[in-house]
Amino acid sequence: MAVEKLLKEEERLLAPESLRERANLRDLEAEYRKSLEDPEGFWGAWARRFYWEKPFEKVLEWNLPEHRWFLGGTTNAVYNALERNVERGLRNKVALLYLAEDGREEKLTYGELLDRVRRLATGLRRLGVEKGDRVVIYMPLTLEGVMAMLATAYLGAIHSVVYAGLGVGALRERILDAGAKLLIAGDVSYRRGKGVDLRSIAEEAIRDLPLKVVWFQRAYKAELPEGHHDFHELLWESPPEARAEMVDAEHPLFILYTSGSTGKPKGVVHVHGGYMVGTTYHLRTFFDVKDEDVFWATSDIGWIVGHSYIVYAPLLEGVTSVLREGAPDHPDPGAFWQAVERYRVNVMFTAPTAVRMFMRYGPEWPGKYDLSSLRLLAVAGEPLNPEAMRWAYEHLVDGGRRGFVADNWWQTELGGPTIGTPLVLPAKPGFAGVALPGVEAAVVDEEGRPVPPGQGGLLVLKRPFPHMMRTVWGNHERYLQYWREIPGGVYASGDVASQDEEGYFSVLGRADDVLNVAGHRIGTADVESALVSHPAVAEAAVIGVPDPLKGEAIKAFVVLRLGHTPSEELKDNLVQHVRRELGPIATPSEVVFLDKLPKTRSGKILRRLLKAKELGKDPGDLSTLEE
Amino acid sequence: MARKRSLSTVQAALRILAYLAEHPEGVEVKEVARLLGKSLSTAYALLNSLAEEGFAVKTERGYRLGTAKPVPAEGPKDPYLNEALEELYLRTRERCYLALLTPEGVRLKTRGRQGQPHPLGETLPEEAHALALGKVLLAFGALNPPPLRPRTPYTLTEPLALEEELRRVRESGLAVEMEEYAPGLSALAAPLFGPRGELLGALGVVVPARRFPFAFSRLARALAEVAQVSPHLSPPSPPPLPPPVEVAAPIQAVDPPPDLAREANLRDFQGAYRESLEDPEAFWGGFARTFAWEKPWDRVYDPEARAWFPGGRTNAALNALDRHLPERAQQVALLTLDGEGNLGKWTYRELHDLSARLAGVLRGLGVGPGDRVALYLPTGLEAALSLLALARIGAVHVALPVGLGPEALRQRLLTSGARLLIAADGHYRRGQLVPLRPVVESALFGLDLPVLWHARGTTEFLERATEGKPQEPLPVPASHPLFVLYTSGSTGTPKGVVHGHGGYMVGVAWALRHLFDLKPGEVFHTTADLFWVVGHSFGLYAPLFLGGTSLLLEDRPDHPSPAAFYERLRRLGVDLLLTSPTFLRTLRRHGEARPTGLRLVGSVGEALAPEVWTWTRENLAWPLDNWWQTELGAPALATPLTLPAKPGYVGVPLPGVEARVVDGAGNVLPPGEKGHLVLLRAGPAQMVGLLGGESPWRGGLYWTGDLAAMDEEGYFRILGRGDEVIKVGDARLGTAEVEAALLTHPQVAEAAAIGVPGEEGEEVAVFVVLRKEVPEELKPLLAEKLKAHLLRHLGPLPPPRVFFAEGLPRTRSGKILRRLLKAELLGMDPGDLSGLEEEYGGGKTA
Repeated sequence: MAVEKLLKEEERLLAPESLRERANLRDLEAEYRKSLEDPEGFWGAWARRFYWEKPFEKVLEWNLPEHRWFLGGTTNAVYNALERNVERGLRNKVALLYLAEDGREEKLTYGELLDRVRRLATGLRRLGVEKGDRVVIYMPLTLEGVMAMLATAYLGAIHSVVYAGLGVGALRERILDAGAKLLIAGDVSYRRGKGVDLRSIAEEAIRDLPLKVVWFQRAYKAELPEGHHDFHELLWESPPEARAEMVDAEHPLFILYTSGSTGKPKGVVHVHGGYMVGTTYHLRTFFDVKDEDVFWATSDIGWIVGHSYIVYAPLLEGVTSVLREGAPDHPDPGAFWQAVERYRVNVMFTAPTAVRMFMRYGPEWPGKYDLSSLRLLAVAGEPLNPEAMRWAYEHLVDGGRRGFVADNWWQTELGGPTIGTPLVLPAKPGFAGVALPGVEAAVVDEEGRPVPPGQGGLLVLKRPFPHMMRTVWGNHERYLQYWREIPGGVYASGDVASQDEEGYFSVLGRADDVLNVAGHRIGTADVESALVSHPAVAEAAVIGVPDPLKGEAIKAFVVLRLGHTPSEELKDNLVQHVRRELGPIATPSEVVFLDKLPKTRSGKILRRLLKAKELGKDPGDLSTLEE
Repeated sequence: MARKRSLSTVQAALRILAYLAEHPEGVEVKEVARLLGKSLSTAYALLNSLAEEGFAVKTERGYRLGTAKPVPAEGPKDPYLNEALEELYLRTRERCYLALLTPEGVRLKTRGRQGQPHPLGETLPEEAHALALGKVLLAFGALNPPPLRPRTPYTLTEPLALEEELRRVRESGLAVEMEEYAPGLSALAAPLFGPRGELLGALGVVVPARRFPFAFSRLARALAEVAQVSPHLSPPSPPPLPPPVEVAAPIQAVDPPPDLAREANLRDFQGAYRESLEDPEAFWGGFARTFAWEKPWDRVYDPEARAWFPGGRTNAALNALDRHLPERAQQVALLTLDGEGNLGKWTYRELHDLSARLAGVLRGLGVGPGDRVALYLPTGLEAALSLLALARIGAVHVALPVGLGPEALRQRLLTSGARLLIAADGHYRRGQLVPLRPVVESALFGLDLPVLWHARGTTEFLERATEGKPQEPLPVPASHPLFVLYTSGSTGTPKGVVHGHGGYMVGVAWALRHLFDLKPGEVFHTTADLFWVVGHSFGLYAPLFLGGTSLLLEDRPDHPSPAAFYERLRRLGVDLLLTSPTFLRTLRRHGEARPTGLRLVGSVGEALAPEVWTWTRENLAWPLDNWWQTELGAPALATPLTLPAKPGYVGVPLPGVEARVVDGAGNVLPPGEKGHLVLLRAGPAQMVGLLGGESPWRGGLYWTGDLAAMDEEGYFRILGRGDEVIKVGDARLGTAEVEAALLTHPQVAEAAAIGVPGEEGEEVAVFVVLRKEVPEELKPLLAEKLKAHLLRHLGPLPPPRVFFAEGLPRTRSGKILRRLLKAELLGMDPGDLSGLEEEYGGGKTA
């Protein structure tokens, strides 16, 4: 056992020599040192690669928990992604490559994308969208979805994308919290060859709200009521006359909601200047993207990975970004690899859950295709278990002879990779990697004291970086909490981790009542409130149970109201109800009826106990348990 | 030449009435028929209708003059004339005009249709001579002729034709306007005479031009009846017109837009031209070094062998694709719009991968370096990939125009020695899928030639292509043949022109960058099909050599409508267009253009008439006329962006080219004289050989076969093909010259001129396609107008013969097939018609 453990710890997976030699960032150590010793010089130099209408006077101002970057500078992230690249000769370069499950493709060049964004922005302005207004986007992963984001930000308005898989309640809550003026929604998304209805969810979510709506209609063109518009009509009937609104570097670019343990989703706010600078830095140095690369982040525009690495960073850097709508294993489990071969994808960014799924289908699927172009597979979203890591290394990058698997860890709040294994370092299965340039991370106890290597503790960040969130929309107090939870002026990530002697971090999971299902953060409280909103439910408790594919799966314990009796039908009913409210990703995979729930004396449900029972572990201190 | 016998109904009616008046005893129908040069039935019809109106009375013998002859009106003139206005309005329900001569001048009264365009105002404007009403007054001497100027703001009529026009008005008693005064309006007017034959004024009716063809007969009859036009009331002889002011038609040089010239890729044209002749090593060598060569050349040009870059080894596909991968792998290289409306965007990476694999498939089929492979593919991705794949392995592509008939196809397959044919089983023409498999199968009957099919509507061809083993580009000597193209037969038997890898690459790329001014990030589009030299050079190779983006279009550019053409340019962001005068004329025929983002419009294939040049500049973008031939690979004469343009003149020789105008013996002619266009040297894109046919190089001169004249400043004007020259008496007219003159007439959309045997040498016959439909009755009148118009432009000649046609026969590359017109007119054998555009219906109306 000890020997095996030792061997495992010694396990090192290397990138091929040629890859390391041609890495955009070769001297990681020096770069890291510089980023901490002279953050102003470091980030300032990277920021000057972009267009600033008014140059910034000061790179940063720390007054923790507040941090502001590129002070006095005015710019626009979308201008930098489109005009700047068109002007430097990339007009006919493919900016976005959309793939459908059926193999249909659609390319948009930088020139075309600029034209569409200008048209759509003109149209949105005609609908009254102005700088600072919030626009909620509930769109499938399509070119139109990206256009909606870019056109909004082009005007200096703030987009808030809601993943088009979230349900009525989640969408309505976000629209209300953001105070949105306009909703841009799709009527349908396509998955496994079938249309998934979005229209009725959106319609129900905005019932009685005085909201203008732009519908991206693919299934059919409906008769639209007053104040509702067709996306393509708006686009093509508007001339490309809008011009980018230059905004302060600290002007919000978007709000992206993420689940917390408190039940109410937090609107994480990112800003034009710092987000643009930080996400692109990591695209070049961590993802090692070259100018002529095809970059494919397999996420969705509804998540932070989609914001940073489908949309903003690749476009800002003038590279080609792939987006594929639908299921990764449809029409067959080789679909992804066929696309990699067809479009010669060089760098791919996916989630552990996807890797585990491919692992389950077996190596023959990637083996059928020519993956010779693929040199880096980055993985993030939840801990990448060593088996999946080894499998990916072996079967997707030819055992390290062709490429590298780069694990990385970050959060919606952090905007871009924070801890990771750059390809110049050896990868250690089970470890996400080291603190990346600009990042100072540590593992501490609840009092903020460092814990020794190898021991578990809370993962914290000791300083901000440009692409870190600025506030929680409408709730700055909640933002301050991140920095005040643990003494010592550090950012509490909410994750539990350990660090080894070499500085590699292993992220173990959430410290709070947040689940990580297939890389998506889901608050237990969200699922519980959804269950309780069902007329048959009196009380509910939700825990995460390990799942070979999704990492964690949702298990719900339900106490029924008097007059309702447990039945399979009711179970299905409850599952469908949650699905409707929160979306398919938050669907419980199991529902158990109980007579009552274990609670603390103060009435808090003790999920720990439920979980311990479920997993057959020692539930720990149960002193506060109510009988 | 015999006088034309065709008469309009009104003219005929007027003549009959005059004849009846001279013969009170009555006339027979056959006399009338003879008089009119019409059939008996026509004469019957005319006489019957005159009888119905009371102008004629049927007798035993035939007809005599009726009693309805205009009775001199008594009493106050004004009420009578106002009644005429009212009567005309009631009959026509159109806007009617009455111009009354009063001691105070001409007073104008109108009646009818509110809201209809009112071109006149309350008084007659100065441009009255252009109006139907005004012309009537001028013709009968009631107005002093206004000062004749070449062009007034509203006048489209050539003033020099006015005298001719007025003579016709006097003869027929009717003035007809066909949009010559104001676009969109047509009018008819007739004089009003008093009892003593004195002119009282004029009466007219104006209608929108679109309704004119349908309304003409009705209006003419109403007007004639109301005005009681009768030629036996002889009008007073008009005062002689002052001699027309001699209006020379100077070619006005037009400066290019300052931005365009300032930002041009080549700013010092004169310097470049000088250097290209004095130091070709440095000039072309410098540009050639921007390409990838496996082995550099020994010298840039060997004048003895007329060989470019001897000793050098390179590959066109290497330079079109592989060279760009490090910098623009993800840039769109080709935009393809197929006949079904599918838009494809193909990056350099994709074109490279697909063509390299297709090359592997071709190798597998036994195709090796130097082998010829024929293509019968419509413009599109599959054709582009095939060309690039063949170039990659050093094989020679022989693209044959889709639509070529089985016999012509077979002949070319045989003479080219092709060892494989890549063919599509269909192509789109105006939205319809036209099957090609029967043509190919019939052409191949009995031949042992393998075919690689492209099945339309499937991805089989691409799937097959991806099965090949990727091939690296094979470096070949600079003069190694890249392709063979058969020149489309505007002249006779087709010959195969052979172009090589090295010089061609340098020549076409230079032209695209420095003449057509392609800048990074721009989209280039030529409406020429890929299987013509323009398509080869500027649809595919030059844009790819420069790392640019080119739009390839399968169907006709104006399908389904010209509006679609403009919309396409706008949506796809086309910056530079290279098209043919034919297509520009088609657009012009449809009126105003819609806004596009075009920066430049190249025109090639035929002479660009000044009218079309002007229309292009006003409606599309700065026109860049250029002249070249399949043999030359790239433009030889053109007007670069930094030089003033002279509409009607194609321009000056481009770097590497020296041009002269000579007589038949090769003696250089002085400026202004017409002669044969020859080149002393041609640029690097010139052909490396010929398959069949005679070399154009004779006695150290490249005989272009075109007629031209050069002005004092060295600008050349192309006058048409040498073998299509029209020898009228001592004069030699180029077909282009005659056609350009015709195109200045507002009614003419397209024109073709040919020479036909006449009494003294040749006569000019012109075939005219009108911009708008014109009623049959009006055609003779219009023909007369056009004749006068031509004579004014071309000088004293026997009157040309004018034919109206629905369309002109052209080759698929847009050249008018004049020899087919000639053959049709004279009943001769038209020769090889394999290049004929299938939309041509044939036939003509005289």
